[in-house]
Amino acid sequence: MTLNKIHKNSAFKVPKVYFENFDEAFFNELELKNQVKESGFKTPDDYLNEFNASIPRTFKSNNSRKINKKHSFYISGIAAALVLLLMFSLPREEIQEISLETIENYLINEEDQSEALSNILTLEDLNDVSTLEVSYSEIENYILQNASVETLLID
Amino acid sequence: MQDEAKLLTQLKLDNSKELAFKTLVKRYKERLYWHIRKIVITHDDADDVLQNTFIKIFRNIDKFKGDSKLYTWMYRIATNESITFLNSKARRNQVSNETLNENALNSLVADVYFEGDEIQLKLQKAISQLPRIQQLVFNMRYFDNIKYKDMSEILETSEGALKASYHIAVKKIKTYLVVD
Repeated sequence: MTLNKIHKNSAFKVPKVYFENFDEAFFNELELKNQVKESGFKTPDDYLNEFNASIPRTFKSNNSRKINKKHSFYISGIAAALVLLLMFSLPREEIQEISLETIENYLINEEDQSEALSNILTLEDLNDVSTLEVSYSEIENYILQNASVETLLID
Repeated sequence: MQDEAKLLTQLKLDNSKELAFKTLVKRYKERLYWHIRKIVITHDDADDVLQNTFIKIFRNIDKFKGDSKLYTWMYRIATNESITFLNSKARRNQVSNETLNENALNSLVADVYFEGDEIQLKLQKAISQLPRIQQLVFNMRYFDNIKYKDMSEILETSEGALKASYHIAVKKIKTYLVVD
């Protein structure tokens, strides 16, 4: 009995064209590995030995602390109000710099603004901010004059 | 495996969490670093992303239910962090992801932390031409020899699709190296 017949009689099956594709896949990889094996990247001396992930202080001391959703909502609102306050209280040239770079970078990079703000602000600050009033027309004007439609669409 | 389960238990207890986390960092930092490095290219960016990855792991370890291996879960976080980092960087620099990638590759020639020869540089360029998923699959299989089963957990894609992606990637890279 030939090898082919033995396997045809077994219950095992292979995907269609498996054997046809096997050679190509196998030899392609082999040829490539003969040409180049390593990526070529390296690290500074002792980088990996000395690497230590720094745990944020707030997590070390407050592992069990949880900000409830209601507080988180208020803090996010205060954060937004503070950003708007900064925008309206600074001279025009500075507004452009801060609004387009610093604030955007901050919002992109810091995912926990609410927690950071809760660490920075005192109760007094929060009371002051709660009296802040910004009218819809002021916000609308600011967006019309300063926001890039392209950026908003991307966001 | 038992060791991993023990570590996981310690990571979820307040009194042993910090120490267990140090063990976790020690055990996985190298593997995760190289995985990240191949995605973000430069050492400085890889260092940032590695830090972010471990912070995210620390924050979310309580949510890890053990549906997958701990290391594949961490690889998934590292992969997502790397991609998010690149997207943010592109937006910050107001360039497309392709341009960002091209700039990173061009700076490799002068990078003190890249000691590749001409063919290795070409290989990096060839990898960068691939769609993102093929880049990830190629790097994980070719350099790190990660099993398709684990890769399937990391990338949440079927093993069959990953195998196909890998073979296509190898073929494309081989052609690129011959033609270019």
